Amino acid sequence: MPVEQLSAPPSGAATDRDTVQYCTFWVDDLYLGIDALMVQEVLRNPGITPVPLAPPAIRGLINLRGQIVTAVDLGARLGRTPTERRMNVVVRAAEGSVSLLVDRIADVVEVPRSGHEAVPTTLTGVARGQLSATCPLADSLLLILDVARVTAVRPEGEGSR
Amino acid sequence: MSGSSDGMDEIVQEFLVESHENLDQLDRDFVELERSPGSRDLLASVFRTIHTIKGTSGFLSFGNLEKVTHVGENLLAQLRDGDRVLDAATTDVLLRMVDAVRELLALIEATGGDADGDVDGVVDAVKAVLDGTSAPAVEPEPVAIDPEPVAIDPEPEPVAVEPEREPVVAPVATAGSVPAEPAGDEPATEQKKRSAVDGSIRVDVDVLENLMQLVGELVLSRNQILQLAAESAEADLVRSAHRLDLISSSLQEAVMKTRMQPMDYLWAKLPRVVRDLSAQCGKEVDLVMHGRETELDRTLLDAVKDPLTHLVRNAVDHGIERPGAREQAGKPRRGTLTLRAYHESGQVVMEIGDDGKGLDPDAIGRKAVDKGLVSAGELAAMSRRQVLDLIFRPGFSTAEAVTNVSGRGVGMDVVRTNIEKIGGSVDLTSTPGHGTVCRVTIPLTLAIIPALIVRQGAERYAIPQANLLELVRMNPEDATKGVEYVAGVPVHRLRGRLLPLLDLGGQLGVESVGRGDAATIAVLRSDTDEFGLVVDEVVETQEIVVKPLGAALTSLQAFAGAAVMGDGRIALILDVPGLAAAGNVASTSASITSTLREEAGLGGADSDLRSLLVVRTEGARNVAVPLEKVARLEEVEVTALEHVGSTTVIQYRGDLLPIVEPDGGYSSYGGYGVPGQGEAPAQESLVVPTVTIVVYQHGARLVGLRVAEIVDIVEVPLVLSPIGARAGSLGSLVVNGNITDVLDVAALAAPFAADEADAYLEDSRAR
Repeated sequence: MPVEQLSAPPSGAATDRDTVQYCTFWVDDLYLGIDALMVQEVLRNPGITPVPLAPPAIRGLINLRGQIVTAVDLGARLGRTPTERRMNVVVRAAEGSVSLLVDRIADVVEVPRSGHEAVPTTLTGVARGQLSATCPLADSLLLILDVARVTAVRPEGEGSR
Repeated sequence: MSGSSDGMDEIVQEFLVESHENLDQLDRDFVELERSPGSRDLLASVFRTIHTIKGTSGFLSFGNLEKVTHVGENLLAQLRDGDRVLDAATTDVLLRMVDAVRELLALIEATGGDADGDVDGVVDAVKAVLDGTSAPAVEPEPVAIDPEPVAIDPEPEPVAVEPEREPVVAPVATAGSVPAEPAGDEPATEQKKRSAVDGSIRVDVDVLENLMQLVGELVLSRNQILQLAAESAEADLVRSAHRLDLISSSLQEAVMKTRMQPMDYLWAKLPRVVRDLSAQCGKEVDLVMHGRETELDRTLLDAVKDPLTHLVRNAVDHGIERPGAREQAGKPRRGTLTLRAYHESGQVVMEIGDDGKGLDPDAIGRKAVDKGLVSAGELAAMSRRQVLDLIFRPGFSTAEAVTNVSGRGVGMDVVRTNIEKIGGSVDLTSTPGHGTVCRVTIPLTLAIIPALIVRQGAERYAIPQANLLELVRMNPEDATKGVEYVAGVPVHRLRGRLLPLLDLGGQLGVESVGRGDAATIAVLRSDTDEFGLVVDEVVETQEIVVKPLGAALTSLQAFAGAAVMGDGRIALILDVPGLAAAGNVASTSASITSTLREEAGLGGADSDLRSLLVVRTEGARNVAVPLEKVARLEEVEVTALEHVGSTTVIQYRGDLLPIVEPDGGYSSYGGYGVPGQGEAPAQESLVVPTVTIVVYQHGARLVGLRVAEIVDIVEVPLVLSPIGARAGSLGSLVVNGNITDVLDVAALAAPFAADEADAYLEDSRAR
């Protein structure tokens, strides 16, 4: 797989910045980040209305001041077991806002553009397709999510019940 | 037509608004042109603008405006095509042309016409440039020599080459300012009345949509606060809540109004459509419109445009007969097509009625059977209304031949689908010989719909009222009787009809909570299928604001959207056609019939299967009639039964239908049906008791069979036990554990055999 393509900045990021700010959070043992410009807001524990028949990764709908937003279990999107995750990272996706459910919110991290690297080839499975780059930080490895792919939950792609 | 002058004014208004916008664009284009004089794009844009104004002014017969824009267009055409280069003289004359257009528009707005405008000066100036006879202020580029004049008058008037601006400006300005002044109680500073441009702005429908959604939210919040205030003793809160209530109601109304347009927006085009179409079909049709001022949400108007046109075309093409045929039928030569629109209980009703030949249910039924849309058996079990409804089935068309008017692949099914898509419904009533009325009911607005809120498990779901027919509540003691399982398929007998049931919990994979033994059935309609949806509980009816689901969920066919409820939680809106499809409602109905056959222990060889209509007689006996003999089931009031001699008859479709009782030969109170016997006397009840009549066909004659109840339609192998054979009965068999006599239709109908009956009918008519 060509390395140059993988190290491209995440979709939607402005290209003329020297550094990129990432809103970071944890899902299980994964340290993940999303371009801060794509994050609309972070919510704790909004009421989620389940949607019967929806793909398992979709946990339901939340009422964001009258706007109806689909809540997606980010863990499930990355191939983990769906569990109760309480923090909602609402991102602006192409087709409207989507809330990503994560375990714990971390800091906003600023990474120089040169600090991006390709997703390691050793990383396999569902998660691989959902990442756009990695950023080795001093004490951890930040995985950058491809928002367009993470939010594109399709029943046929997920294997609906 | 009375509204035509108003209509014209509106067109002029629109034209003015649009032209002013165009002129603003023109100004921007000219500014740009100064920077890049060679830009073809800009020149093309300028050309288009002037061309548009010219076209419309010609149409509205503003002669002077047309004259000015015409020469301007010629000049611009040359520029655009590169036959001429923009130089100072050309720019100058073009700007003069634009100014003249502006003056003329002001004049039109003030006086309604442009006849008073003096445009000769500008026109001549432009012509002079076109001809190259003007003395250019600056020497034009030598490239610009193009001797080919584009459609100009061959007589340039060099005398008027350099008229000053005054002749153009002055008369227009005075003419413009004087009549615009009303009686004059306005302050002196506001000299002119608001012009069309200042008085209106164009707003993106999406912006209004958003506004509408927000107002919807506001209304929901208001409901919440009103509820809180009602429980509160705080006088200030109650007062504020009351004020909020008033304001938000007016706001809701005002916002809805911004999107409202009168029905005439759609109807204005119809006289022409009807005129052309009737000429094409060789018919004479008058179009009558009532309620053209009835207002409807703009997006809905757009959505009903095509269905409406189709229905109107249908009425002219299929409904109204040719003048000759009408005269023969004793009707005036000219047919009348009536459009009527009015508001009714929060909905808009639009009726398209004609006084044509009406729909013939028999012809429709035959056609549907021919096309394989229904079986003869199904048809026989259908009510008249259901038969008419067949024309909404995909693939149906009553036109005998495909004409160039109909037959372009758009049928009534598309009409119905489009109307139902916006939460509306279509209904047909037709009287043979007197015409057809198609009634289209549409909600006032799309964003807020009335819905029934039900609970299933822990969540609430909304069912659009448009799909709801009725609610059936069964107490625990009735529930076991009310819901029957036919080989795993739950059904409910609703007034003698078998209604397939879907369990909402089962459909959604949601556990039922607190339903107990009781069952609540929401009887729903999707297209022509009716089914019952079993839910845990009915919560309330409420107006909800429909919101779309996210992209990841739109493929779920069970849900049409979501709504935020008063408590801030979300309720999913059920998509009734989607549920019906997922639950295979249509095929469930079919399988019920076949399962009943199996349950009767008569799985046997399919080859000998016969469809039987099982009915219960007044004497509580089960009898069966071969279904193919059955023409229709009718419910008539007991008072409709009349007597001619010893025979009971009813008036049926302009004819007399003899009625026989299957118990006739041997029941304890036998004899050919004396009405009222075996019928509870109608004391104390205002409801006229009805009797069920099975109309069956014997030869060319229809005979009515009076029964107490329709039990079922079963498919069984017709292996008759001779035990029951006797007069009027071919024999008996066991259906669903009941001994059932198979009627000898021929014997029962014998007294009314074709010729005898005809003679008898002749006789009775003579009386």
